[in-house]
Amino acid sequence: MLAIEGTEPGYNTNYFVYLIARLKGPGWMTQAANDKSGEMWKDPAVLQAAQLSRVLWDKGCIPEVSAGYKWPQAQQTIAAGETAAELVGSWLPTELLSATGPDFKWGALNFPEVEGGVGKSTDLNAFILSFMILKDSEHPQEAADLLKFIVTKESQQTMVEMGAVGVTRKGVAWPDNIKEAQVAAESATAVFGEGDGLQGSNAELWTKVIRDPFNNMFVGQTTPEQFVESLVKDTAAYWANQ
Amino acid sequence: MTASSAVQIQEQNASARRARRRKFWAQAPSYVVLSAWSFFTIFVIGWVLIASLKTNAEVFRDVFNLPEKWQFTNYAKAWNAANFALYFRNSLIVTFSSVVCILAVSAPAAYVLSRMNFRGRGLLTTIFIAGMGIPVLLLLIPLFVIMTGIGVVNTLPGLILVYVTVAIPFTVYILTGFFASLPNELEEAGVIDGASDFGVFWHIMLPLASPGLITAAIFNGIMVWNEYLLVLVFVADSEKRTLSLGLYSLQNAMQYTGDWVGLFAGVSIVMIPTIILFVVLSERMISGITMGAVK
Amino acid sequence: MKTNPRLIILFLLPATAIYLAFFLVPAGWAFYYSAFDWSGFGEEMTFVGFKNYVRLMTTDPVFWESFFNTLKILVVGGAATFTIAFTLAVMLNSGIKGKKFFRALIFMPQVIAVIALTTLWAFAIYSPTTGVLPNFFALIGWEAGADYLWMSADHVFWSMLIAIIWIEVGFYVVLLLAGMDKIPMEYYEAARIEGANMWRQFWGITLPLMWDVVTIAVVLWSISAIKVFEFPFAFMGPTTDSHLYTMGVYLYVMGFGKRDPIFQLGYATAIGVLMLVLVVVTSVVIRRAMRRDVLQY
Repeated sequence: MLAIEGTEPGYNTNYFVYLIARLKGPGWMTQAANDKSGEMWKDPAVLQAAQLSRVLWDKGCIPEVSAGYKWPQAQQTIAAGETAAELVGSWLPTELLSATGPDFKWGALNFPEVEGGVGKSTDLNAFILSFMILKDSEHPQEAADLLKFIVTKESQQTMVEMGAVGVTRKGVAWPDNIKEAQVAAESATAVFGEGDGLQGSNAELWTKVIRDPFNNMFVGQTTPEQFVESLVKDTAAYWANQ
Repeated sequence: MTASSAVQIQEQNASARRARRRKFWAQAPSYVVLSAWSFFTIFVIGWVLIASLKTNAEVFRDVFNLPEKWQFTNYAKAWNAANFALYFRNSLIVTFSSVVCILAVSAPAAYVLSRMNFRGRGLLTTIFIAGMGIPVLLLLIPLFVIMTGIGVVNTLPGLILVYVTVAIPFTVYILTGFFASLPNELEEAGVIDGASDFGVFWHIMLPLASPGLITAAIFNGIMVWNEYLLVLVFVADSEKRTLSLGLYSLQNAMQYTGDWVGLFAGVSIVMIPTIILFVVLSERMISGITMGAVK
Repeated sequence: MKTNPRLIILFLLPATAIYLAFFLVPAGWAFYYSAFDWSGFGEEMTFVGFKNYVRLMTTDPVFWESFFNTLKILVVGGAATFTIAFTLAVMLNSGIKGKKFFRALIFMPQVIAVIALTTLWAFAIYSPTTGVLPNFFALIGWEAGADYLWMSADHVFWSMLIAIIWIEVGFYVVLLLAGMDKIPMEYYEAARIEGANMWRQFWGITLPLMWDVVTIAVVLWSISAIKVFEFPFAFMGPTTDSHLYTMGVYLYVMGFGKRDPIFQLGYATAIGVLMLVLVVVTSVVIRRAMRRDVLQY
């Protein structure tokens, strides 16, 4: 059984993002969103991705009750042993630590390839946090020194130990319970951000045209066909107003 | 006693009993509905208070049971680790300062608007009260620009200024109603005694209006204590959060801990002070609400 | 009535200055901002005239969803709130014991932080795992009730509305009770002698004689219903489900983005202006519709 936070579009739409990336390759979704006519969404792969996401429900891989879960209720079911997996990031073991206890056996695997698709299973959806220095920062030198300090091997090691998170520096081993995630990160053939990067580059279109309508379809309020139709129509309407 | 009068008394008693019984059956539905409604409220609030003293496992396993061992450490965790001690202090500072400033600004204005004669009085009163109908959300973006311009965004004094501003319409409304209801004689007596106009306000009218001031203070205090939208917009630093924004953040930060009982402890810390205040002052608050609307 | 120009100016100045500078000016300024395309504080503003309004009303389905949600709260929530509040108020006023106790408990949700109440409703009442309602229904063996998903996309709006009604009813019970208290008892006694039942007494005496209070209560409801924000905003997880968008929530999401970097400041302000328009229109309509000859007694 899969854990699904039914009311959290931000998580569920990762299924759509991944399926599109596997079928058409990373970056294709961004292109489609930037097609001002909306016509690119008519590609059969889009409908296929939407339908594939519904298969998980139809085949009973997702408990029916999931549609009523408010985050973080679904992920708690992993700790309780009721579900086995969730499409989510390497932060999950930390989030669930108090519920699972330290000895819980964690594992991770890459999102599988889809038959006939061009994307590889090593193309990775990653939510990466980054630092930057503002151009009119008062102390740019000190800020740069801080960043240098943060990426030293010692600091990164400390972050792994104290924070139980993955880090960017190669050669620093990630915590045990997310070691598969490190392998995935280091062997990634492509990396794309939240919503294929759209969450950062065009948050309005991402949330209103893609993410929230997808979730409505995912939990069964609309059909895959209706969803694709709305993608075409609303993308065109969005760009017509810019 | 004659036999006939004994029968009469018996009949009277019987009819009184019947009346009582009729009254009981007429009122029974009221008791059932009111008790059910009240029970629901007590039950869910009590559930959260009890859940805040359970372990995480118990919350999921024994939904309706008491905890095996009362976990007061949940409160210690919320208080220290989730920074609620600091937020509690911030809330106290912001609530107290806001209420004092709201009254200091609104009471004189309400006094003049209700008891002095000058041109434009009615119009000005209307303009003040019209603010009650303007959604605060409309102000957010322009107000943010103004606050940034004068450099008070992300400061507690700036936040207090915002609270004072949004509280003015309601406070002026409730206090004008109150001042207007005071008798004229005392004011006139004060003038005869040679008190200045300010003296009349300060020594006579303000003390007389103290029930109204207290009502306004309670309502604004609870509004400021409970409010989280304006803190969310006008305060960025986590160490300047108030309690209710702290709870909002805790709700969203549960991702780091999955600590449900800690969340319930946070909810309790936010709820308990206003509930206690309400238990002590409920009569005054309830009569205060009706003061403005029902004259 | 006295007059003392110096005192008047001195007393009015602080409140007027603050109210003008931080309330009225920003409110007026909002109209100006709503005519711009403006994608963030410190960014260029481009004048677009009425385009934001045209866009909202012609091509933005999410705006209409938020508008109709607001309308549902206003009308359906209002009807439910007043029906319940009147029922409870009449019951409280029927000479029962413990009137003050019940009244205080019914009012109590009003003093609790909404942010605490959202947690209460989401996790302690509706949640399929920890919620009191599903667990209670399971306990009494009512399966359909136990399996009902209060927070799912199909139901979450109405679940939220129930919670809002539970919070708001107390305020209106208190207000209506105060209106009922003004009505002289002799009217009811006379009616009872003529054999009028409680239903007839309510429509014949109670409601007409407290019509002014009812009017004020309805106006207050409409103002607070149109600006509903805090409950739906915090009811869900990190992203607010668009099923819960009210105009207020949508304004915030478009202006400040919640967790997504959307900063459409001009567009968001236009939503605020429409909220104000809705408040004004609703108040006028209510006042007209509820105008009656004042009854003297």
